[in-house]
Amino acid sequence: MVFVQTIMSFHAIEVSFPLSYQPARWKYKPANFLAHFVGHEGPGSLHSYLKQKGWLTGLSSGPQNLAREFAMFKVTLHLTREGFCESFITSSLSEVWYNVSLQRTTVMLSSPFTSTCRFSDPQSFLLGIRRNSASLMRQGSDSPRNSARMIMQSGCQNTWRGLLNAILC
Amino acid sequence: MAWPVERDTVLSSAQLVSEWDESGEGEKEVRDILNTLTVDEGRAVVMARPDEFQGVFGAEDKPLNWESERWYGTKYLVERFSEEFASRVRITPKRSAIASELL
Repeated sequence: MVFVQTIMSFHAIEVSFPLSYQPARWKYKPANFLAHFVGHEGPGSLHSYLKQKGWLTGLSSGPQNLAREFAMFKVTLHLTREGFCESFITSSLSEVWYNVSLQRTTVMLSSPFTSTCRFSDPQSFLLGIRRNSASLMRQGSDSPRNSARMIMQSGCQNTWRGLLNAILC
Repeated sequence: MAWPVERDTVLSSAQLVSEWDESGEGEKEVRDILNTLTVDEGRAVVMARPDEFQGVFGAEDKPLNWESERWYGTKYLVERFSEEFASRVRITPKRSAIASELL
């Protein structure tokens, strides 16, 4: 962790990871694929969680080309005054890694860039449901589909329902 | 023309994304990156005004021990993630706080 003094008055955390040369991956653009999920702002996303806490003003994520054969994957969180304290910074950082490990352990059904759900795809949310449906079932819901519905009631139902049914059926 | 692509895709390769097919190459590329996004590979840079740092991370009688970067003289401080933090985020949580919040 590196602390850097700024001149402008703002609070931000930037998490970066080394990446290989991305133009070689031009066909599937995996880094952009992940950036889509990490930077997702829908219900159940990293952004919406931290923002609801009142810690976050903005989140962005994406690959950055630094030199030939070298790039970085970056997640940038702009924090509120309240979000800038030791324990909230630690929590925000853990959520970044939890978000990534959640994606690492989920089944990916297809590329989010397929024609049916291009660019507005709520898959990261769905992946979260899939992963968590087992624990939801233990809490009294009888099937993964019902548990998904339970979650849906707190989110924006219409947007998600079609895709949910498509995936859970 | 510096991109490693065929001549006829010079314009489109930077914009278009291919569908995943049976080869599994698309998913593999994504998973390869996911596997490198670990706490041991990553680095976090925290940015704020000096007085804010002092208020949050420093004690009143003990000023933070800033170093000076050689080109612009920007003050910075490097600290390793605590082993407690690193081991906590190394494992996949049963249910993240985000999911709990949705219930």
